Amino acid sequence: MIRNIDTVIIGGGPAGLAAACACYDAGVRDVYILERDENLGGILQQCIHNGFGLQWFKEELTGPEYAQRFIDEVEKRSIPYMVNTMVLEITPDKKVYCVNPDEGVCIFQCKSIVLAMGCRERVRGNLKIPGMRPAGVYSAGLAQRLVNLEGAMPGKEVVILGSGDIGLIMARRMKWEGADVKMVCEIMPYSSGLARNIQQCLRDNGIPLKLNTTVVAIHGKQRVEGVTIAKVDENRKPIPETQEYVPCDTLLLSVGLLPENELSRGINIQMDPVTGGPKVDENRQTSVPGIFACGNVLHVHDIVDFVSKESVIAGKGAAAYCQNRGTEAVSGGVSLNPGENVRYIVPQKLVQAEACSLYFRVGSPLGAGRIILRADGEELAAKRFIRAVPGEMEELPISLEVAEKLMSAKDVVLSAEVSR
Amino acid sequence: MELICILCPRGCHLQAELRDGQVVVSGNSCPRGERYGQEELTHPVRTVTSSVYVANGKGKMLSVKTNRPVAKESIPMVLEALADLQVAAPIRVGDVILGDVAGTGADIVATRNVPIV
Amino acid sequence: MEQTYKEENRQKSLDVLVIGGGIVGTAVARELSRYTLTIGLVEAGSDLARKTTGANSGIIHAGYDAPAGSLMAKLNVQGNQMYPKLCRDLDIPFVQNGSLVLAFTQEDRKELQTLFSRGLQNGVEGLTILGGDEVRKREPHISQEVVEALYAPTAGVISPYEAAIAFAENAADNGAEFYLGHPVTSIKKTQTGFQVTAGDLELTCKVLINCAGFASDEISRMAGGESLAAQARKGEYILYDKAYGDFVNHVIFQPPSKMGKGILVTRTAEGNLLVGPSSETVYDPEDTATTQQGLDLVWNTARKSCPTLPAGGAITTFTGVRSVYGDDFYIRHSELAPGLIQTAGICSPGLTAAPAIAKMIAALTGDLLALEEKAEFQETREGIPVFSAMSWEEREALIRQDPAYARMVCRCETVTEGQIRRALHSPIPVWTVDGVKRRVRAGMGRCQGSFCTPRVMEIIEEETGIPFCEITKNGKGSELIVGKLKDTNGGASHDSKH
Repeated sequence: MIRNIDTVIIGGGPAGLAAACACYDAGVRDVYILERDENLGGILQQCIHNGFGLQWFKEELTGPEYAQRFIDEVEKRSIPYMVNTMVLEITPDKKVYCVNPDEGVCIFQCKSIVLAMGCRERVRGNLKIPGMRPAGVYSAGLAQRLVNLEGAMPGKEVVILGSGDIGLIMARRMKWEGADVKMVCEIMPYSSGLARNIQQCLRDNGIPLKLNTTVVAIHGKQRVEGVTIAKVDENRKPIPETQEYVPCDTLLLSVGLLPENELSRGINIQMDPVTGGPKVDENRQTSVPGIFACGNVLHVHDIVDFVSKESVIAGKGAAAYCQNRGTEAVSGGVSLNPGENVRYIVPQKLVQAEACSLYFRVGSPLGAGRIILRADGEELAAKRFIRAVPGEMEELPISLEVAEKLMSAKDVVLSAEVSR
Repeated sequence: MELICILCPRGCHLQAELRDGQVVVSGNSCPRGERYGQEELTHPVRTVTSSVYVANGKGKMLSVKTNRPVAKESIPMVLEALADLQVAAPIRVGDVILGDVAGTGADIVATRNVPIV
Repeated sequence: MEQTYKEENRQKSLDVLVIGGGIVGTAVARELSRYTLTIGLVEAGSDLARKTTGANSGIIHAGYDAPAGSLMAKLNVQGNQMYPKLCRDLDIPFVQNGSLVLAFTQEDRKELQTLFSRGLQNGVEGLTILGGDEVRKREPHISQEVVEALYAPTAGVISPYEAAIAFAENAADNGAEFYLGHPVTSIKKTQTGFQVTAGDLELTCKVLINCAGFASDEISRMAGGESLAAQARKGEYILYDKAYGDFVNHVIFQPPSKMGKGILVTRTAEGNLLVGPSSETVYDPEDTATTQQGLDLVWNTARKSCPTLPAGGAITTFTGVRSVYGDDFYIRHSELAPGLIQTAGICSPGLTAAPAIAKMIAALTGDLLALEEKAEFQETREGIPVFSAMSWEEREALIRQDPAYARMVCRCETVTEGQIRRALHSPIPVWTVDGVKRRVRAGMGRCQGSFCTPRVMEIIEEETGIPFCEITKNGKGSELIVGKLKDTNGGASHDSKH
């Protein structure tokens, strides 16, 4: 049986919850959330540390608390949701196919869809780390789930590869649960995690951060017995003379996140090869009209408050589309191009002259400088920064006036220029 | 002394120095940063988060935190107090699980709703 | 010894005992289960197909490689012809996509001619030589340097461990008994045959069949047989995300060398892209480590065939070790230990040849025991439903029978709780995370189990009663977690006050 629903939200994590509420508040009452896990809240449920919500709620919350605030908002609006529900297919005419143990196969015919499936972690195989394949090699997120939700200790002597935030958080978490966290190795000359986490997770707990260092071999037949680490040269190639054996029973990997866009690819939504997410306009509409995306499925965020902010935009966009105010002109509009030191920009293009914000990341750590938005060579908007790092998302607000000028421009470039 | 402010994701790099019995902080972008710098040099504090086993609830674990930051040196005592803790569902966010943990004056509170199963 | 959760009868008297649960041992057990014999198979590892069978290219070779008149040539071609029916009967995923051996130079073209005529001698059907442009028409990612290719339509890809599991389960359905996690520790010759100790099992048999791969030498020596010391040859592989599964259509070989058939590029039976293997002689057959040099060699060499082979997109790397004993398969009666049937050096094309090897071993068994066909022999086996491959109507019907098929556990490979529960109650039960993975592919996809491992462990705990903390990846010593949180702090408990 096919059910007609105005807007289906795929994913009940922070992105999906915020999008659902925004869609509802914009006047669409027929919103439905589909969540694959047994609870709403997504990955926040296992992020039990504090540090969330300072921007959105103006107070510091833990992950589950942040999630609960949004779950309460969903409940308040009586927005229906289904948990234990996996969406397996979506179609360009906006049918959503999913399975649920109580309902069996469910098919929704929607007017608009919000993609909010989140991301997954890069794994050992993505990096082709050589060595044996014993038990004890885990993504940091898997270890986080085991510790925080299953009450299980993944190991006692831990080496962490990659200084992403989850890795840093897990370094402290495992240390606090009695593990010997020997080191965090980072192949780059800088950490990709937030500076505050370097302080409160590593320095506070005396865990060394080894920059320009990677794991070159994993040892142990059944369970990890140790890893070989090595310094890398400026091309990130390991230097053999610097090899060092570190005994351990666990290797955690925190080496990056990848947006989970298998559903999006299934209907050939245009993707941004840099973000790994769909290309979107300022309403977060993808190349398929009526399909919107927000949160980590769109691009990996550093903090959840930005996810909520972005998801409100997507939720509103999805509502407007339902109410026939949808912007069909997804192929038109003006492209925003990353220039000097800018790795990517979301949205990738603007289709209407409206005030909005551009979100972007720099490609390498930068000292003081200016973010400059130029249209056909003319500087339209700018912002100073004291420092910028790839691990942190930057924002540049655009006024209505600037947006109007952009719409008629041919070549729009955003760059981060370091002061000389 | 070089510090990284941990109060928000911005992570400002602070300089904090003791001058004539006063802590002078620079590099902060907000007043909270100044206060952090002063505290960090005189009596550093941290919020502790952890999880404890929960009986007859939906899920095996309850996530908890100290309802206010505790002295950094008391963290091991707080963790030790949590190690023995087992709680019973139902629990709601904000419920006090353990009052005045390890004599810090802070309470351990639940950060998740755990309904009974 | 491995802890199994099933109570075993500690003493068994059998007609035939097969040692080794790889592709050869399982194929032999299945073949012999046609007859009115009592059959047992003992395997040291916690699961079938853990060693050579678990890590190889998964190619069903056409049969043009081995020299005419060799056992390899004969059994390869026979095995190749047997697989299509076997895979239908036993529900094994098999894609007969054909193979191409590429020629880049005049010298290579001569090599293709040699392979072509050898193929004809060996009885390989359908061989043709294609021009470079024709090859590129069929394979858009093939190098411009390719001048010709030998096309063999009968080659294909299969999942080697699924094949071994299917053989074994069908044998079990036909009465064969399987003892996993029981390494053989002693073999005594008796008046009527052999007495074999495997862990806490005492097994007596009339005929002993040695399919122990690298352990064949040790088994043979325990039984008083010949030395079968083989050379170990290690091969490293890179496995890509299914998004790259259609990068090539055929199994793409380069011209063979002394060290083997070279580095191939192929899709797998399940739709991943696979490149490899390197080939390196090693001392330790347990050395399954991948190396930077090996993986670099695989990638660089594969790029000779397909210059646009993606640098990213790998989801795992692995190493397989194959056993090389002389120039040919070694399959015969032991002269020193009558009643013992020996196999050694079953390297490539051992997977392809396995069903034919099994026929040959059945004939050898017939020299020692009377073979009488069972009327009730069940030739077919039904595998675990593959949810990901079903139509929506089929899914709906399956879920109606059991809602557990609507509970998604492995999102990358679309594996449901229903499938995992089925796997844990297979005809030959497994109790490890890798055992589940090899049967239903949970954890085999792009996130490599990062999401589903805890849930798989919970289901194993529920179905087998093994405590969460004791669940292993692939047998004792590979425990996934080291204990419960706060274990060291004792168990005093306080109730919450609210």
